[in-house]
Amino acid sequence: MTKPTATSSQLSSAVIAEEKRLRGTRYGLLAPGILTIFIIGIMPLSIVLVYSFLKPGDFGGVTWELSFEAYVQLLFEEDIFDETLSFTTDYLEIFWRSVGLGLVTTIACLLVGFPTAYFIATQPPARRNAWLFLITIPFWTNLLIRTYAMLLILRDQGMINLSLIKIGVIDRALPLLYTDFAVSLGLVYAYLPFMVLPIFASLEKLDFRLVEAGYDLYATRFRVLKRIIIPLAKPGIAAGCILVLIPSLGAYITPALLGGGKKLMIGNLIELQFGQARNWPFGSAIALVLMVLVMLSLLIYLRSGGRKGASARKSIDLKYQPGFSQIAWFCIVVLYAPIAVLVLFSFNQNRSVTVWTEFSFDWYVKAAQNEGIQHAAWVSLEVAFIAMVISTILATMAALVTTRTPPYRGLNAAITVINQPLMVPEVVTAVATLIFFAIIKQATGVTGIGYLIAAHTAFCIPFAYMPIRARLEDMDLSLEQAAADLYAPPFKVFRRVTLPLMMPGIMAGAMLAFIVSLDDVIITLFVAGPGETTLPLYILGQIRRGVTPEINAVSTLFLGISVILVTLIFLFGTNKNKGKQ
Amino acid sequence: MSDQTAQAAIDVRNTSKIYGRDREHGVVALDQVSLTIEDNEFFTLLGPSGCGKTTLLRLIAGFEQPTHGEILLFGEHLEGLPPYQRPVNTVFQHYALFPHMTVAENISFGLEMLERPAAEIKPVVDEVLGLVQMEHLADRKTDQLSGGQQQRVALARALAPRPKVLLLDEPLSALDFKLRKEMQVELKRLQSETGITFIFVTHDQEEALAMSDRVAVMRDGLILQVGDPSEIYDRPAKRFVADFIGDINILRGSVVSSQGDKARVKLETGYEGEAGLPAGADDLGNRVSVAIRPEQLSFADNAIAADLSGSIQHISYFGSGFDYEVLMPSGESVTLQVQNRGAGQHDYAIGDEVHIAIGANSMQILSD
Repeated sequence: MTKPTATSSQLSSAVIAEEKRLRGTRYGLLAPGILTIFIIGIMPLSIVLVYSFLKPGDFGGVTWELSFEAYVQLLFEEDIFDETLSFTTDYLEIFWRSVGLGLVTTIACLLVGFPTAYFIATQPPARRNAWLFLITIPFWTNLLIRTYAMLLILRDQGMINLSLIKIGVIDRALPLLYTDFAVSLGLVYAYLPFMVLPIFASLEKLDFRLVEAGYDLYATRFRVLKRIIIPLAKPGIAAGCILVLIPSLGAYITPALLGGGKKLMIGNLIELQFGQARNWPFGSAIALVLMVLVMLSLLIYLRSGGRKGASARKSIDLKYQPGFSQIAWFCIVVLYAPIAVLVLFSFNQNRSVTVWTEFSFDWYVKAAQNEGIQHAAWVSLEVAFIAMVISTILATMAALVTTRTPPYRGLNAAITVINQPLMVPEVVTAVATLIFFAIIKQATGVTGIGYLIAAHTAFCIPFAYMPIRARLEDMDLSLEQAAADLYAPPFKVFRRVTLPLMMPGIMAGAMLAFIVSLDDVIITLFVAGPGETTLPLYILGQIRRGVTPEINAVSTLFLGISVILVTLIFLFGTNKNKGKQ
Repeated sequence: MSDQTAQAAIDVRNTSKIYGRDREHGVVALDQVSLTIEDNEFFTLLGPSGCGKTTLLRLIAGFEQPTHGEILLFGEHLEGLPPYQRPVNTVFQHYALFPHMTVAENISFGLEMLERPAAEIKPVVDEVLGLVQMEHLADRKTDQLSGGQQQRVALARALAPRPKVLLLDEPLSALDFKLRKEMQVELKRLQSETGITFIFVTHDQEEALAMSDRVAVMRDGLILQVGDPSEIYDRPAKRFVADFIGDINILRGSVVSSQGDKARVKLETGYEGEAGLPAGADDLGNRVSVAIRPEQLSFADNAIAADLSGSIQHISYFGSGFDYEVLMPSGESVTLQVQNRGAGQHDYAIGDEVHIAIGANSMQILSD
């Protein structure tokens, strides 16, 4: 017989060794993703903080001298002659407009988005997927192109004005474009899917037997909605509001295109400081104020308990709410009408983007022959492809160690770091990355497209991470245990069971990363060097010079690619569900 | 140690599993449990949820490591061995069949991992498929199978590598009543045909009694009693065991005298008779609980043959018989279970004064 004490200590040392090994793998797999985001995402933010307390350099950059000038400038104007300060509301107005437009956008999105999400959630499964698909496509198609489509129909010679004149309601074009109205309409249009999807997610989990119970206890339709459905959907509503508000506050493209030079928002103001005004400290200070605004909204969100909601499955009827289906259809029309106009006129033979003459592929041929477009397309594909590969690998490793283990210290922190790029307005990230890379370039003298790829990789990680993690969380841990029980050592468990089962998630993640990289405008705008013009940047440049059908053609092609990729992601997603039933 | 055949299949020695920092701050899932399971036994761990039965199974499988103690498989220490180095297999509660593989691929997985040559694998897969009567579905994907079929595949997969011990974690709980009965017979047959030691975890007492060679009743991380089904049912050692398995009447009484595993007890109702005494229950004190199964009580024709008497308070009919609840002068109630012998036959009514006879050797003293 063996001595029990000896085996006991032997046992605990075996257990400790095992745990040490686990911890080793855990941090080994987490480190690359976390490090990438930390270096390219978080460190630059602190540099922004430092820069906001420095003096501007003469040709951009900074001089290393402590100064509060940037913050003073926010509220006071310095007289050029006697250097006295006087209070000015110029910048406050822009902040106020941003917050106001952000809130208006959020409320409008909620009013349209909630009924839409409810309507979708109450559809039979097959039709529900079709609706979801329709909402998801605009979600992942290029914001720049969609905003451009909006511009097309709001112009003086746009669809709306032309048809209003035609039916005789007005005789001169209404000045729709370059107004606050246009900007908020563009914002609603841009971020509506961000509201619908999270609300749908929480309504989908709603147990409709609760609704039946409500009716059973004499509640009317409206009261059921108010007392049962809305409270239960609250986590989704809160998440939707935050997802709309944050990007609205930091919006750049929408006010730039639809607000013209007149209706600036914070995002444009920041860009201005790094572009024409060459005042990096002031730009940094504004970026920080924007961050503070975003943090405040996040804080309110977390306080309001934006956490997990109800569970269980649904069963039968009584889901109807009057008017909701009409709103849902309206929502689809709003999302697709501008795109439809854009696509339609890309096939117009005429040079006009408003008057239809004849069907032709002329503009596609022209676009294909344009060297600028060819070059931009190559740059886009190169950056998107490399960023996709690297970010997907990093995200897969990170997802494995944030789901396949029991909770451990630092788990939540790790998830927060990975999701960091999602929580910071893009324009702030862009500014931070610009400054950070400028420092590195100055110190090392190294230039090249590597910087752009690194920046894209960093913000692609959370997008690739989301579906992979979701997939892993859906996978039963006992499958891996069963494999281990059947004599598969850890690596074989991974190769034969975990990896094949998580593959749909990885594919979806990779495609998301690809789309996100392909679509990016703002970060690329700040980070891209000469000769690194991506397709969206090229389109942006062309739009600023004027509207041509050639852009419509390129945009349509671009949309086509996005639609194909989203469709593929969607197919991977639904396959997963089928497998589970 | 040289003679493998004489050794226990599983020897659990003084094993504890504590989740959390330590005994005071954590959860004690298993509390210094010792247990021996013989080779070729159908052994059942029975208890309510949270009693530690599944934890014990997972310790044997190697999914968890014990906090203290040791576990031996045919004399060999298992501690520190990962699950894939232990010659035991598990049938999971929800089967855990690999959804991306066919039935045959699922079954051959373990053999492939053991690096058996392909020529050897094929006949084994066919054999176990035959054993569970699933030959015709070998090329199906597992999500196209019914619950019962999935159950059979899970069994076949776990049996294919010929484990020394097969662990079954409530494998029948997801099946409906009819199918469950069928699978009980099936499991029993598989066990005797393969000669593999089965360790079966369940919270269903009927299942445990119907299938097992021996049963261990567990609660709160402790094993309360180990024995064959009739010992567990007829001679429960503890109040919890008596209560958990089947219906039981528990009456107050006192010990008059005791010898070996028998004692004379006097019930508070006045009846005096012989009762079984649980092993190791020396200092029960004077006052004891005495258990009698409802089917061991019967109506007596007259007062002379009566051991107990009282009036009927409640009658419930359940098809194959009746339960009569009788209130006695001592203030205690007993339930009698009487077989249904004729269509709708119903001799007694509520309020009737009745006499009751206690069957021979049917009283058992319980410790708490």
